Amino acid sequence: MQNVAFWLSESGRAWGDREALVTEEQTLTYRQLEVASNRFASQCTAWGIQNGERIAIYISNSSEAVVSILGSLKQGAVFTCIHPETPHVKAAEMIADAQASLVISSANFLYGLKVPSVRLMLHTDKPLREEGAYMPNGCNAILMSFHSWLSAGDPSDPVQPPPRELAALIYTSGSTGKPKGVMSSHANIRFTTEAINRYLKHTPEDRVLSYLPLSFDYGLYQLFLTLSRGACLHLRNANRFMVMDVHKQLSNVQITGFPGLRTLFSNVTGFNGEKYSHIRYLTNTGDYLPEKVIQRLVERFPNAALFLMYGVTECKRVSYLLFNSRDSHKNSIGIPLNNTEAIILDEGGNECPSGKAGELTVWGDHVCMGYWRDEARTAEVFIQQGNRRGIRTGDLFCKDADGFLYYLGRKDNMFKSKGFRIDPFEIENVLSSRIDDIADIVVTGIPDRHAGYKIGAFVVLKEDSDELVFRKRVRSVAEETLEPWKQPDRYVIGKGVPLTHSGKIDRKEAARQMGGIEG
Amino acid sequence: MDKEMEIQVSIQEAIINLIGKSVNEQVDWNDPELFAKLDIDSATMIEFLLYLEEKLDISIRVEDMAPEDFINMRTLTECLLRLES
Repeated sequence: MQNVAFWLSESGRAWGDREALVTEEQTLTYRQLEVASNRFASQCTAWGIQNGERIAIYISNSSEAVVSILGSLKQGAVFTCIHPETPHVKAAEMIADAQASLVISSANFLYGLKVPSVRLMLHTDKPLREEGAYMPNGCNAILMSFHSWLSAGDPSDPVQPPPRELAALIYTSGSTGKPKGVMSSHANIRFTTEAINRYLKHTPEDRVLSYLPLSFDYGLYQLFLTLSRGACLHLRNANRFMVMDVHKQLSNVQITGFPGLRTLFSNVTGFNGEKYSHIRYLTNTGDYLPEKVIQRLVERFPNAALFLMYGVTECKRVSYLLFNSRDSHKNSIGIPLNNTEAIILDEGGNECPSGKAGELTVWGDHVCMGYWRDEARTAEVFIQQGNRRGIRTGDLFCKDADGFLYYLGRKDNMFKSKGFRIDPFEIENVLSSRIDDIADIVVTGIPDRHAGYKIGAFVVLKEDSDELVFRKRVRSVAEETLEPWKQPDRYVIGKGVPLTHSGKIDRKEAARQMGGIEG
Repeated sequence: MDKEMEIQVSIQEAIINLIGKSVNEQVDWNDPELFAKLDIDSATMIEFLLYLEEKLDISIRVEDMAPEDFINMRTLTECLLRLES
């Protein structure tokens, strides 16, 4: 399979002087992006970063992040983006799990990083005194300025590396709290990019505004979707002022596409304001959009086609619903992508007839290679039948007679909060293993109009534990060890975990006691 | 209570209720880094603004606000008075 970066370069060559990327700091044309990624790849060769080695990118949405992604691919290396708000301890675990050779991050983080596989660290801060020197902490890695390192690279086209399957590791929630890397191949990325572009129909006239982090597959694919069609990606970071920034960007720039999560669309439409008639499409995935938000989006974006989509990281995208099918297929999340099979299986492994609920399995060239260094979990979730590759999604679905899919819930206790998939066991495990005061803990979703679900932790403390001390400690441990979107929003202390009549943990009752009833 | 005072009381309530500052904590409402020190993410910011909208019975147009309005009590009060007029 052709290397994704070379595939993008081929299509990008025609767009040389057109804008490819607009970040908060700078604008790069297709030619400038090409040269920068060539420099990155040639420097990897010069510094001994070989085909297949892992490169960790732990910075905010920026041109440095994009150049690192494209340069890694061009080198034949495997990139992994880590959300910039991930706590340092957790980021170091991911870097160790990926066995990364090169890490791009802030100097502040890199100073304290001790991962044996790391040989080179590139900081994106201002120049430091220690550049080029071995790190004093004995980890044998060299710390350099990203920009100095990049500028020494060869701008000419590198030789295409021998074909390798693996292109990226995308880390997602794992119940043990251990990082779970989804292995995405060059073929997966290209298949998915082309399949999504079949319905989004990007052209060189498009400008897409994205606040989605590159560590999130929905954010990462905005890059591939735009660059493969000569469009321009306006890449920005979500922060506390995002709601104001969104309006400025939508007003000032001729944006045509606007992908977002439920929280973003809830925020954008939460206040009265301008109409954005130049937007031709909106996309949403990660969580369902409440009808009220949809109505407001239709009012504020009168000419936009709204695509409601569904996917899981392990195969990126499964289905999409054209807005004009909403009335005839209410509450559906649409039809499968081109060349994708979505088959609903009963507990015996037989295909369910229309209208009957079962687990959704997805088949196609976008189904990823498995979980990084976790063969047991890979065998549990992925299915190989000859040349066909499938995945068990763990989501309960049914299909109507027209082939439209309907999401019914999870087989397990996962839920979505702010667009992120939350595994309650991960949070329970992380907190209970680090805080001795916890006798029992149940984490569950509390319905919320903006986030879909907020995260609640119902805690039973050991005897003699001090509640005030615990509350202070638990927040501090959560901040140190869990990404911001996994940190519980509410802690409720109870005398005993709610149980069902059969003695199982009653998560619905726990949610009710924390201020809401799980829907 | 005049409008300026009403806005200031509402901002204080919003910070205490939504951002979790305890009333017992010493808060310098005109600290030039008041909002920078508060741990507000984008979702909390929305809740904060919606709270003010409801409490003050005004319509906030976020297009007319800027990060510079979120420095401290004084800057936000001035902004809300401006939006109201």
